[in-house]
Amino acid sequence: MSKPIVPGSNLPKSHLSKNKGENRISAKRYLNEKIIEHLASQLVLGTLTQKVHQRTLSLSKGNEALAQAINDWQARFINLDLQTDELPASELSWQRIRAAIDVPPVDSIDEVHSKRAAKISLDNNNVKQNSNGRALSIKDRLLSFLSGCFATPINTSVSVFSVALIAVLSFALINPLAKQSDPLSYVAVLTQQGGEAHLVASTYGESKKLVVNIINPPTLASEQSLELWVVSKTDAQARSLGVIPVGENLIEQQLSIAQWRLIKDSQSLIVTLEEEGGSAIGEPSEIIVSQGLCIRLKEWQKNV
Amino acid sequence: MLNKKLNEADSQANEQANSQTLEQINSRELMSNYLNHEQLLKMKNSQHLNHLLALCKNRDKSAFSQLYQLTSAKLNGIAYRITRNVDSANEVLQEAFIQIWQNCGEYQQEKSEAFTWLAAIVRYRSYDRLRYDKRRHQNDMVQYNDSDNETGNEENTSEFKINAPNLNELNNHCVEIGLGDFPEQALNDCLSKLEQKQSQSILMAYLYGYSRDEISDYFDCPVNTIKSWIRRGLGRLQLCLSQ
Repeated sequence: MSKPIVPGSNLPKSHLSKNKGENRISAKRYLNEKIIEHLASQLVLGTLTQKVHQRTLSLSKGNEALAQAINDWQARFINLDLQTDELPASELSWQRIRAAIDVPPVDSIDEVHSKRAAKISLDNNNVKQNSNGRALSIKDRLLSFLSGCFATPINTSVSVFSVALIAVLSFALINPLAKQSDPLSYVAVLTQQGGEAHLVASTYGESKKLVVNIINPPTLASEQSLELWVVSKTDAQARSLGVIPVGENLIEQQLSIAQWRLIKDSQSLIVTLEEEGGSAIGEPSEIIVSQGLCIRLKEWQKNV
Repeated sequence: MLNKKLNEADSQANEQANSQTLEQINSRELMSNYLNHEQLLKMKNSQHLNHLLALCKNRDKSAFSQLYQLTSAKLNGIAYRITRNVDSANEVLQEAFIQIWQNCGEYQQEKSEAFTWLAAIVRYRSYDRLRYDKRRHQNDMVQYNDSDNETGNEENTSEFKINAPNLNELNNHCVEIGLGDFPEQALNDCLSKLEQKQSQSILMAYLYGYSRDEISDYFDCPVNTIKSWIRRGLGRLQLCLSQ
């Protein structure tokens, strides 16, 4: 068996000298086996300075021997990491990672299996979902949810509003623009100050489309526009989803990835009165025409 | 035993795929049912993680979610071991997973195990974070001492001490080396054969992110002595592991 190289042994004095610094060694010297072993072992041990560490990693991309030596040292020590106790990550960690890279929510194992079971059932029975069927199913859940609300001692105005909500949502859910297999993911009913419904905004998870049903459009002067905003759960800031076209009752808009992220992080939606063409400064005016909480359907269904 | 379960899970997935004519039933869903995280991570053969990383290269977000589910607790534990702060560990984990998603194309399964690659990313980020936090605390300490001198109050400076790793744990770890029931004891055995100061220096650096200067302070020895211990220790370790 050949004698292994002792990492860092017999290194030239210039290399070991703190003053001259490891990063001054010419690229050619990085082909020296002893230097490679030294750098790889110290990198894995975490004892290199940040600058040298970065430089070594960078060099390893074009230096096969160095990359291999690093891999070898990592493999030698990995058991220490495997023996380390687990610490469950905070819920917030995954949310932030998801927000940063736009990954769909993590499904639990049960959810994965129930989804697959549902898929099997649908495939085996060759069931074709239609939008009316889906709407009825969601409406049923809405009704049972709201009837649960009625059973509690809440005031009459809330009950009246809830009935209006059912009607509005029923309208929204039998949306002719909705695609058959596209699940409804978020719904918001925006009401005006008097409690009158202004519009229903709904988003569809597959196509990432926003559909806005205008129920009671307010009267606008010619130099005015209505702008839809999403208010973030994370920082409570409002960000625009665009100006609502005048004279249309049903609006469909393809959301960008960034806008979809906003929807996923939404606390509520608001509509503000702006000058024609929308806010010039990217912030909503103080005149809020309507507002409503954004309901994520999956979470909401859990409460039914 | 584990490989057998893996094979069973895969064949069961295949049977269902054939009988139910479902498209792309994924065996990883079934495997999650059979294997808990600990088992997966202890697996010498990390085919499953390799598979998930390969899917991540193709920007499969579902695979990335599963990768997170399977490894985050262990990786967070590693980050916590080094940073000794739950918030810092979680932040390191977040940064690491974003890096993993961005750089998973660089992972080469023929050159290293998937978990080894993942753990390395977390460890290096943890070392960086630890040193950043220490520098920040040292600055706090300087500011605190300055204001202390102004008020004449020289007590309570210990409040600003760095979250130092618990050296008792390290000593316990050294005592335990060779006694664990881990299937791959080669590293533990080889570490136990080193001179105690050599193994301690190596473990202080690797496990808790101690710099050579900090190890030198701990042992009250010149830094060059510490470098020498580490260098010799690593050499002997390499020799022992190659036997």
